[in-house]
Amino acid sequence: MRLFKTTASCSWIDVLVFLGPMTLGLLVFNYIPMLTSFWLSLHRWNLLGAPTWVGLKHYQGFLTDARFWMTLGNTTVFVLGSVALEVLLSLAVAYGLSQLTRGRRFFEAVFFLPVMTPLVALSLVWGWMLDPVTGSVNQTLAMFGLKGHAWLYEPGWAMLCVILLRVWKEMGFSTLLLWSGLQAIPRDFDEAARLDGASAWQRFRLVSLPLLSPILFFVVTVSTLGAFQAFDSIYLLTQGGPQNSTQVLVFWIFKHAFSFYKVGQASALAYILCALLAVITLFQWQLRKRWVFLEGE
Amino acid sequence: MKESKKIILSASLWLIVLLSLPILLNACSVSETKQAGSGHQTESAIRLQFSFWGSGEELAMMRSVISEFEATHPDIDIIPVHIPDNYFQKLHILIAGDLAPDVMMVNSLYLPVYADNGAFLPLVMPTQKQIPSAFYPQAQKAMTWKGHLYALPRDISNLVVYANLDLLRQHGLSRPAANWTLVEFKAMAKRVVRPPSADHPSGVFGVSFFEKPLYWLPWVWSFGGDVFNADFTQTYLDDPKTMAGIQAYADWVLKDQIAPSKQQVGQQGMSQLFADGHLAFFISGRWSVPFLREKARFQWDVLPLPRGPKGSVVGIDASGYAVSAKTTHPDAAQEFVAYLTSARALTALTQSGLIVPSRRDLAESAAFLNSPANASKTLSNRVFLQSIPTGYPTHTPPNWDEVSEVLGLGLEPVWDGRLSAHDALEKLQRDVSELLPHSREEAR
Repeated sequence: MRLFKTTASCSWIDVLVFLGPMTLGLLVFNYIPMLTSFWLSLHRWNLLGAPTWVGLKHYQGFLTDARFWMTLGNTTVFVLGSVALEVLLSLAVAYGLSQLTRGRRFFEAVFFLPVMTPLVALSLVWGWMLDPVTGSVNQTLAMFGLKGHAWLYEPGWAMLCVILLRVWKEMGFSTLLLWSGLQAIPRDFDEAARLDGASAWQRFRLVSLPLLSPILFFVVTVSTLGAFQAFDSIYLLTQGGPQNSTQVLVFWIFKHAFSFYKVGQASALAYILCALLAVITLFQWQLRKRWVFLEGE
Repeated sequence: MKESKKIILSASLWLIVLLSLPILLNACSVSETKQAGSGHQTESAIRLQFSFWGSGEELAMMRSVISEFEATHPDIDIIPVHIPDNYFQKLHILIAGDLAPDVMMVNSLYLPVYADNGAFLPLVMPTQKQIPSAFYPQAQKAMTWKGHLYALPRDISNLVVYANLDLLRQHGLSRPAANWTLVEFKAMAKRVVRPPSADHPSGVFGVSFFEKPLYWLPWVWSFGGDVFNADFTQTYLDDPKTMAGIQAYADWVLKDQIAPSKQQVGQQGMSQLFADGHLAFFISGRWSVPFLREKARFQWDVLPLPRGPKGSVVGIDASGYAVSAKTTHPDAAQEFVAYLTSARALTALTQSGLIVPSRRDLAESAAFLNSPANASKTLSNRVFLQSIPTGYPTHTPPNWDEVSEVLGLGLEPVWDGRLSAHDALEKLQRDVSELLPHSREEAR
């Protein structure tokens, strides 16, 4: 039995030319490292000596490690906070843009600008703005007689700041997607609802939102996956502090691998994150039948 | 149809060729650079890679040292690998990837992890006979692991107190005596403290405050405590003397209010706060001299750390040069290390104000002792040398990064007053003990 068949108009050379480079790249840079990483997750290795077999000890160890559960808790807060804020704000802005008749291009550029700006630059600017002594945020608050905070040095505020930075950076892209989705909805539906006497809120909730739900589902899925993988802003702004309050899973993986040189534990954590993402994506995929328009049929 | 397939195929091939071109060109230019850089070298020249950290100025000095060495050793070609940031992270990856440079700069805090894993060659130097007289024994000890010398020391890192003499004078205080006590130090620091104002948005503080072990260890030692013993079989964090030292240090911020918290400093950093005249005393090492020479616009000088109940005790760490265990030219590499730590090679670095040289002859010479605070002011350089005989080496286990992270997190609530040193250290005693090598062996 032949595993693969080529069509009459397509030879093996064609297949090799078109699929070969990408397959090779995926093998070398994705699949082989993934398999190696799993093998390493079953070993103790500090990158210097020879790896020692420990089986599932790292996975078991994390289950009883309070730091793991704290990091998972931080990750959950970060993901829920940033995804909820990002989606709600993007939706509001996209709807607002779709209603604008003048100046839309200007606002599109304004909201998309952070997406184009490198996160490193954004993080540095945010770091300066939020500085407790010289930062513009505290100085502005002081002008109104309000007391500022040491934003990045207080556990509650630090988490909020890294969430806001992510939302600020990412919402432009989500807005663009949602705005495109809103543009694709035929005006007739809105007009019909208006003639039936529906208010603006009713038209949005009962007409636009259901028709937008496929795009909304995509935005929620992509931003959830992105939020779970957040690293740069946390590395640059807080280094996981204060008191580990902004330490999320990816940052902890990095610390295990490149600060503590516990490559086995870092690999095990990476697989735990991978499993978590798979379960959440599967869950979202199942949920889509309930709330994504036409998906249930 | 066939025509369009041909076009796609040829376009794909061209794309591959174009994508490969930069790689090929880069490979050619690298090999050309190496040949050009070693113009006087013969085909059979020994090539040694040499990794080190440091600023742009330090890089220029190292290049000059390398040129001098190459001039006297025409058969050896040195390829500098300058890693200005995250040095040990990158070095670790290089060693793991079997790409370890032949000669590596290393400090005493990180030496154990590499020495313990066989990454460095124990030095059996042709210069060994001269070592006892040339180098401070404390610096040699810092570069030793389990009885073997793994690196020749370049410098000694010890802490001193930088004092803003103008600020002290403004508050009616004269230069403190060399044998000042912790009580006198705190009283002086308290006299200069001022709340934030238009001129001083952060306020004026008595002394700097850092949360890293390097900065709190001297107070633990000067109270008679310690973190662990030299072979890491005992942890002393729950010792009342250790607790007293930590609490006394935390009280600088919490009770005495002579030091700023990190919230009060923000991103500007302690060194900038001192250079701007907002700190009376700044506790730091020799590495701050070039910065203060350039930035501080007031009269400053250095003083020894004040005496605690057990005297004035400073950590004696060191940086130096090690040879890779996998070098194919161990003799040439050791020859280069010997040159790097020679008085001739260390003179420029010493004159720059950046280091306390590990060599007695250089430390006692005009190159170090006459090094000024700035163009017109003298600096009491001998203070750096006076603490060496009584200093403590900082014992670090091979997993120091992890241990210091646990210590840092465990002490965070002490620094901000949520926990007493007693409560935090009782818990840390258990956590740190579990991380030490002997506990790990038992757990296996």
